[in-house]
Amino acid sequence: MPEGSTGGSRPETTPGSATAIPKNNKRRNLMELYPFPLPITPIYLPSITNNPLSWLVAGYAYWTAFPKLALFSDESRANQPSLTPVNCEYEYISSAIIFKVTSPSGMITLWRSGFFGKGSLSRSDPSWSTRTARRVMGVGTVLTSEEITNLRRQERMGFKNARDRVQQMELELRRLMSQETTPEKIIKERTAVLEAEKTKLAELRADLQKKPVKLATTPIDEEIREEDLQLVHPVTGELTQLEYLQLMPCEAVFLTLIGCLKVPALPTSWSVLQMVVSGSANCEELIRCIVYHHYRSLGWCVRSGIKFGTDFLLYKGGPPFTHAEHGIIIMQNQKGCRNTRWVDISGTARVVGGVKKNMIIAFVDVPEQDAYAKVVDGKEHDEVKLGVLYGLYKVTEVGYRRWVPSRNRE
Amino acid sequence: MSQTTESSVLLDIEDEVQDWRALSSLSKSDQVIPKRGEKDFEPDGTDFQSNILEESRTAMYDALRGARGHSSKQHVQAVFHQSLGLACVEQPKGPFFKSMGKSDKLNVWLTPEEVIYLAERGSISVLTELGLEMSLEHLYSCIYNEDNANVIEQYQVYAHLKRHGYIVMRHEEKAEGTPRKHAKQVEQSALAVISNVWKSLCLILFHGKPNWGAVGIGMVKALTNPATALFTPITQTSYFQRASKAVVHYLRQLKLIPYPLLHPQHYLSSRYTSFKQILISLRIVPHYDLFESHEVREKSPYQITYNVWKPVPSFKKSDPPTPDFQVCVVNTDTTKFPSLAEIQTLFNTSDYVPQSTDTSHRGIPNNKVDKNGTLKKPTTPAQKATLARIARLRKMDKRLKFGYRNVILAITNCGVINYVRLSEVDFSREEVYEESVLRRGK
Repeated sequence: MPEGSTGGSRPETTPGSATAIPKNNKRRNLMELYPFPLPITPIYLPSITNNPLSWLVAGYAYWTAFPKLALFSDESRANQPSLTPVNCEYEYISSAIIFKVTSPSGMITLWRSGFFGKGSLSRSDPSWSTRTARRVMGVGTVLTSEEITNLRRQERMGFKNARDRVQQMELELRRLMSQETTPEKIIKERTAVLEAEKTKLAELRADLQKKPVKLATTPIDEEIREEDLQLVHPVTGELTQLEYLQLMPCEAVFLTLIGCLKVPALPTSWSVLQMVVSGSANCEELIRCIVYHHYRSLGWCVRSGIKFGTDFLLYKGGPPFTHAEHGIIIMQNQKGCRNTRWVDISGTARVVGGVKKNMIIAFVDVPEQDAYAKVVDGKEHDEVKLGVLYGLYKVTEVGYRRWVPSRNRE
Repeated sequence: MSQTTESSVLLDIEDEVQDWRALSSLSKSDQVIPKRGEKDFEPDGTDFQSNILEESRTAMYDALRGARGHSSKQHVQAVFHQSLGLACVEQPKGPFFKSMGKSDKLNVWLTPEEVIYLAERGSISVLTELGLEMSLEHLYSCIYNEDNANVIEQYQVYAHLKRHGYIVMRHEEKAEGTPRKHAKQVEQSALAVISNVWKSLCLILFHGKPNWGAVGIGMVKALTNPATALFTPITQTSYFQRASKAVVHYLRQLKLIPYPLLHPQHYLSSRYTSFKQILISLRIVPHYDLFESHEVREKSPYQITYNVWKPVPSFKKSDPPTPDFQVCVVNTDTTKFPSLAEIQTLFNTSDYVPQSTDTSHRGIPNNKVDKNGTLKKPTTPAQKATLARIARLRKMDKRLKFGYRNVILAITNCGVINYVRLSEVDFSREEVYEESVLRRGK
């Protein structure tokens, strides 16, 4: 029973949808909830038919429309495209930069379209306010991923307890059987009971894998402290938002580059990039930005892979759709610079393989420092510079996978 | 994991402890793969566990007690020629020689690892050139040579693969110029040219690629070579440049022409009608292409050591097919993790059956079989589309997991072998994003 440890939430599936293609409905729901892989919406033209009038309509729509930022309103799931990018603050804590998005609508936008960032008080998506609203004010019915995990864990505990009981019964029976004085009749009775219990256990197990998670009808008895009550605004009755969405530096660079994020003090993506890189051509953060950009531009959802010992994880749709499929390790392809230890790479591969992901080594060609400096010190516009700089690097992928002789023979 | 579930098949079989009782049931000719039962963790006070252990032990001894040996008719003798480093078999008998050794007109010649392997198995006896029986120790000392420091590691890998049932032969570098290239699709049809021109025109006109001006100027230059001489003095003046800047700025504010790519305003000012276009416009990081590394060949400590085939009855050692796997033996004490050039050199020296690199969306929908074993045929177009989609994604996953060309590294560390498959993967050829009606939202 693989445990969903990828930081992904598994939203409710509708029961009884196990027809020919069961996953389709779930996918449809998710697609409606998370329609865009980036916070931009392209122009969707009205359909073109044989009627020449429809051509005019489409043509007019084409010339008047522009892509928008996919900004969602909080309450309804309907998207209201907007033209203003999400605001982002940054602050230094000792020498590290933290990029923060604090507005609730911005957090939702960045999470729903592309799964950017991580909620500071949540496991991945910023769900603190939902959970706290239910706990303190008793409102809301949507389950957050943390709550689903908790419920699943409780269910599994229940199953394990039941299994322990059955095993205990089995042991007692064995003991009885080894004593010659036990009458035959008792053994027979006990065996029948045990068999019944075992079938029950098997059913429980099957249920565990199929059953959708449901919110418990009785609220969880948790003590509400005074501090909790202080979170609720006395007049409006609204919850104070304590959570913010923290972005990786490479996410912040990428989002400003596509115009979806605005760091007020840093007007262009180039200035955001300059903020996080060190000034040498082989700066690790710069290479992370480039590799991140590479996979985002190919349509993958990229998130940090620190939990699995890799630089990045690639998701096909995003955490709610599927588990991550690939773990990316970045290596610089420089001559005379090989300090990868066999032990390290083997260990990482074993972990990545153990959670059923595919390990990819992304070798990055790094330009000479002179070529780098020439671009950085050049007088071009910031956006031109950025394009030229990214063009100096190059990504090559090599798959690394354990091979087992006994399993490849047939 | 306490029960045998489907997923446990994927777990590591190697890490399991052998239950020898399976052997006694096999000898009774029922050909069922034994099920793994529940694990016991601690003594439970009954003799249940010890009985199982005893049964297993007896089964193992029974299996080992069976008389092994060969008839005198099958007895094979080899003569080890120290100067050649090879052993000569004058009368080859038995099934081993189907996939081992090299035969000339009279004899079969065995390589050192083949001799040791057969001698360790007890399948041949080895004599010196003087006709004296050689011990295993003697044989081992004879195959050690100074040119090849990894000879023991190579033998360990050889024997390990042989004992797993594979056919293993030493890899010989083929003459240069053997085609191992990818089959490139022919794309230069007239239609493709036209559509490419159209595509680039669209990009220039609507999406404000930063080099659109350069393209235009290049085209003009090519057409009217003398005329450019007239225009350059004008376009070079700062007044003209300032004026043109102002015009461009004004036009951008009117949203008549878009901001250049990577400008924060770009995606709000240019016209993209699908997500795919947006993604394509973002692809500015150069990446590896399948067709480019064929020339990389460096002298490196990484050389393919063995060709490995899955055991097939039709195997002919005189005319072997393309190997299923190619193994490069590496010693962790002497060799570091390979660089990219070394990995690519390995790919380039491997034997590769060129396969289609077509990654288009066409997929054959494979029919689903339900629990009762009956075929479920897709009925509605929606179901068909879903099945086609699943088939396409599966193919893509396979390419990303196993790659195109690949080589297996046998990483040895003091006799422990770890096999790793390095493969050539190309994410840039795959289209993971799916444009769908569902994406359009409501």
